[in-house]
Amino acid sequence: MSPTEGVVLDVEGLETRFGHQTVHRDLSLQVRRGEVLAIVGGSGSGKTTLLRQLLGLERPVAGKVTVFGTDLARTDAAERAAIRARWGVLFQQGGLFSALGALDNVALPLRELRRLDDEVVREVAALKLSMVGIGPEHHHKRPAQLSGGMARRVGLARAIALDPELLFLDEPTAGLDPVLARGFVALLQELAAELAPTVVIITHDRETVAALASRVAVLSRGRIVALGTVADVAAVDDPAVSAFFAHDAAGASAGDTDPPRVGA
Amino acid sequence: MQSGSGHMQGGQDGPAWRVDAADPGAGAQVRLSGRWQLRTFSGRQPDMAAELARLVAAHPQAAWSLRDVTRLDSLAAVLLWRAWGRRLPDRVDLRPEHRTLFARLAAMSAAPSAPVAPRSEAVRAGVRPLLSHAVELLALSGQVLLDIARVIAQPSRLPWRDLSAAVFRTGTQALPITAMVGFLVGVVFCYLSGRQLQQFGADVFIVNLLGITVVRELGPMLAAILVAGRSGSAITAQIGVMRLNQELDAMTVLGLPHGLRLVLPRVLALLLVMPLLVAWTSVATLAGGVLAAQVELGIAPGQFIERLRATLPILNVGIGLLKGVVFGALVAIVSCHFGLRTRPDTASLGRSVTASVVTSITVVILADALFAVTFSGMGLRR
Repeated sequence: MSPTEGVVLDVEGLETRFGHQTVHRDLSLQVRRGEVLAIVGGSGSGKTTLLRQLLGLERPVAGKVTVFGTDLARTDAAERAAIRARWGVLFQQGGLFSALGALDNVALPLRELRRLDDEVVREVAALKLSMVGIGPEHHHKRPAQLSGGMARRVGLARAIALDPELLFLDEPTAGLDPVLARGFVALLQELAAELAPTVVIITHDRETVAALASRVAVLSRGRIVALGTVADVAAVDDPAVSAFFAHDAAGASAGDTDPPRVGA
Repeated sequence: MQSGSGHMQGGQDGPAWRVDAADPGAGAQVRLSGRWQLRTFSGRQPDMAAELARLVAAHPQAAWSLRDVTRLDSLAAVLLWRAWGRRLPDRVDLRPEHRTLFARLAAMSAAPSAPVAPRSEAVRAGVRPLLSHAVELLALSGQVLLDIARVIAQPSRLPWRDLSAAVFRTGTQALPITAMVGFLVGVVFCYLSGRQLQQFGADVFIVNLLGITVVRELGPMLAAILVAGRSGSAITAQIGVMRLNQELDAMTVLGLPHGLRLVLPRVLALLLVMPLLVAWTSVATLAGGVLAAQVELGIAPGQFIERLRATLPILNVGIGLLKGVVFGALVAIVSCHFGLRTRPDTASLGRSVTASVVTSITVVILADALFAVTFSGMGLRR
């Protein structure tokens, strides 16, 4: 089966198990080139594990994950390196290297290509940092010296360091206050327009979904229970879907008092 | 008229990057097209940069067209920007989305600030930090004394569970390694000194020699160095990771004093355990000595022990155990100090553990020298 043209990421019949606990069963999902797909779901629904599967950090018990037409489980080191140069990941905790300054964190993936001048690397890294609004005065700060919002933006700069075709964002706004979160979403919108990558967002934040996603996949009980545009999915009658979309309307969520705003 | 120089292309997938240079006299034109992307530069970037620089030099007045560039990534933009001499050419035709990219580069204007060399940090790590370490160590020792007083007044405040865990980790689990090292050192030491004494026919004095050095000096030192290496490093690493995980901050916020909850149990544990470990190590070392004496010099174990009892002033055992108490406290306080001083990054953690072990051992040896001076007239027969 060769993947159809325009499908960047293809998950087929994925099953994940830890001991006796089944996280995903028969999960299938396709991500098309250029779209922004949000994978949403309550906590414990297996979102983060799904991301780890997509990134090849976990091995599927059954099924397969195909990225850029290559089955992740059947790659050798060189193929994996080639794939990893084409995607970028923003980790939830930032995943910044605490021993390196902001600029060096962003420069690391560029240096790892091992065919660039260091001066050029630093200039590209500085350009990426300026794209996320980090000025030269912060270039040498260690992650511990950066505020949470700034560290998140440095993480984003590192994720886009290689101008990835595919960008994974794990809970991009988690832990940011509403103002910062909105600013970060605006930044993501801007960068998505400028770099035009395919984006996969793992989130539980409805506002992020509404602002960025062209399609939404709702993950519940180990599988995708709804998939489509925000408006389509909101109409699906499933407890997990209504839990996600009705959350704020019911006033159950803390920290955000905006009226529910579904669709785009 | 097509110029011979300016024609290059590369890449393997899709429409690759491409340069066409036309040079009809005054109206020279350089046209870039295709995908200018990181991955399509299969060669080395310095070659690419040199190529572009040559192109710019060959067509100084050229009009540049980037209309047909389908993708332009940051690396390509930076390379072009540098080839152009950090400014846009006078005549350039750009797509609007690429214009923003070059506008950003222009806004960055000056080259990115050179990295602050970590060298300056190393230079500063001279005398002043030493002083601040000394002051902080003193403060921590004082804190421990105050905490001990507080615990005596109110024993329930001591985290007994932590204390017993620390006793187990630093004491019980250290028994095999200290015994093994002590035994081997005893064998080697007895063998080498026995050979020398034999030349004077003074074989039997090996017992005096071994007794005084092992009980008074070697046992406490071996135990302290081993404990500094295995328990001291563990203490520093554990507290350091707590800094990384913000556990230390959480404790402060919850009103759990670091001194009472982290430092005191570890210091008390080593205070209790070290004299016992010293005794254990000394016995193991002497056992090694007994074995070597029998094999090498033909001194029967019974004879050895008899002579040891007759010749070794018991005061030396007291000095050895006292050393154990002091060394244990020093190792614990130094290790806790470096753990608490760790900054929340991984490199700092590594440095802390190294510094902790090195400082512990140095401090132990310094203290041992002080002991030697203080007790110079005691426990030694003339």
